[in-house]
Amino acid sequence: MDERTQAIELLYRQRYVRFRDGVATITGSYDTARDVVQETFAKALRRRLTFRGEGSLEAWVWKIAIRTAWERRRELPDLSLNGTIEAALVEPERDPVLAEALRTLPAKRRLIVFLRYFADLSYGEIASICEVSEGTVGATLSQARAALEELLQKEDARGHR
Amino acid sequence: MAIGEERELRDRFAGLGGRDDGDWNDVRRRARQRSRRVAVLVATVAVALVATGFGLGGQALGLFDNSGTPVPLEKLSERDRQTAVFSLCQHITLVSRPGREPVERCLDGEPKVTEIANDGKTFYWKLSYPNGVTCLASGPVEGFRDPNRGPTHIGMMGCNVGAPTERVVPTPKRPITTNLAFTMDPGDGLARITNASGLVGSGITNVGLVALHGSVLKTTVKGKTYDFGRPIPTRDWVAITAYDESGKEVHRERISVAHRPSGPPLENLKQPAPSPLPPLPAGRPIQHGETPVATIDVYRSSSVAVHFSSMKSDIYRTLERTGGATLACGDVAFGAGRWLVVAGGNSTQPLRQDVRTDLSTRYGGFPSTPYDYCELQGRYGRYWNDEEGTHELVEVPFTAVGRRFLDERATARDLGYFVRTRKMWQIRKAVHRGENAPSAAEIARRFGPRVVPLADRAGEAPTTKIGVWTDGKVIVASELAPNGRRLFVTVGGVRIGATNTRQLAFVF
Repeated sequence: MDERTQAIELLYRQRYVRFRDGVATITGSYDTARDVVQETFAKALRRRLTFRGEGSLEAWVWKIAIRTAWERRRELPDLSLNGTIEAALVEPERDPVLAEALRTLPAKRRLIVFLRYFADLSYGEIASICEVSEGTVGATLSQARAALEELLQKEDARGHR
Repeated sequence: MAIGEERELRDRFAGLGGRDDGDWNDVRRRARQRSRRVAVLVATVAVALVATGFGLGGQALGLFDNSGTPVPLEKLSERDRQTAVFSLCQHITLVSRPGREPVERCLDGEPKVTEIANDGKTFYWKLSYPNGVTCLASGPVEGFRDPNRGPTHIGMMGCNVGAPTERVVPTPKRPITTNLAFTMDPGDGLARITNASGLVGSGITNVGLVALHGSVLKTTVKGKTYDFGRPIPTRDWVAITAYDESGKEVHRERISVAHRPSGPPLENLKQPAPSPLPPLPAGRPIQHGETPVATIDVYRSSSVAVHFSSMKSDIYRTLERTGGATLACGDVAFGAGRWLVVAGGNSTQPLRQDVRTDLSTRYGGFPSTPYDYCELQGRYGRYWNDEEGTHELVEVPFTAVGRRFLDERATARDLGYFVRTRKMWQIRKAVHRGENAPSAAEIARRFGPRVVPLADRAGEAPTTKIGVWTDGKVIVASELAPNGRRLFVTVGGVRIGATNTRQLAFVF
């Protein structure tokens, strides 16, 4: 087994759940997400020779995962994040407050939030995947956190009534 | 939620995850099979914009009048103001005043915001920071939906952080800015442009997209902006051009959409070695803390160093086994019943005996030294009453307020994990369906000795116990923090009601 295969296998074993849960926000179901993640890592194995190590392996695999998820939805993704990416919690009833808060975020912010908090990616990795600057990622997350904070405070207010 | 408490957000998302049903053998099988579908190219797309540098003959073409209209910060919505001031702030301080809620201040100063273009649909703001950084923010004029504090307008923000000579507005050398939107076509795997928009300098009246075979799609400049709108025709666009009022092309940038070339056979490459530890800054640390298994040193430059005394301790092994940790530090303030937290951290994967990171960032938004606390945030699962507890496994308070914050946060987490246990979730869903919650005594019985029933909604349980009160519709769980402050969470079905834990932990 070559070393790059070992690295991809290690990534899979350590991060499978995060990949599946993150992809599920795009595909809309865990079953489809599981299939997408399996296919993603299979593609990663087949194409491992094209990975040149210029960024992190995980970010590279995430790009494949996101595109595979979009292919599965037969939707055209907008890599510059200027389009509509309807990503949402796959089981909103498990956390309706968070689901509602996320639903109000613009699509581009929502995807970056998912990549940060579901996928646990660094600012640099998200910037690489979304092809924006790290500053843009930072600013976007800052806005998103502020937006979530406000909505959750609103829930507080509801609770007082 | 406190700004910067990313850990809590991550916790909340992690709570939505399911079990690990991965199957590596299935991945290997799929990798060996030839797909029957048309192969979809997913090679990374590299987009290069190469200005060809048309001479402008000394004309005043392309100058951009960015004087614009000042936008007072106080006119911005709170969310936009937060973005504008703090997301790039390198030195955030928290100000506490007796009887008042703490507030954030940016010691770097505040940006000057100028609206430099507005075509009625999209606005462009230039943000000039005292340290020389310039940002270009844009968004829809009508703003985004914000149910609480007015519209939020900033949609995207790009800055010249780290590239001070880079201009974010048009210049005579490059009289247009270009914001290209792409889609990836799953049919052939090629990236295609779906829109182009941006700012234009003086004298530019039209902007064009040039197709591979020479045809040009033009759009007219409105004010200082252009926008091709959506959708633009699907063609192989190879360049974007700018024209003056005579129709002469005065600028051209190549749009190169290419697949990343294949690299050398990786079998011949060695596994990259772990990156070496960054050197410690010169001078002595300004803060030092110890736990039974590790020490944490903070340097004035925001460098933080952790040293584990042993790699065989249970704590080290737990962190290592569960995917490393995030080394984070924060500043906190408390006032009028509210915590304010500015925290930030970097991943430390893989975990090593010595962990070093620099928490200063080019784009700001993180706290600056000295810190109130530092910690290694583990990535293990968190469950109520589990053996890891509700403090981080490596956690060092440097100040009294830092100690108080970590203690109250641990108590708040205890309540948070409690109300999201499977047993409590079953009760909450039943209440959500309209059923009555069990009595407080029954709830306590189901959870064992750490939970006690309370006769009064505002009652207090003994230290280290969680008290539960209910009227059948609403459940109040409360616990005393080590300093005696009563923390509580009100649960009404699936929703969380009144609570004073919001800035300490995500409770859902």
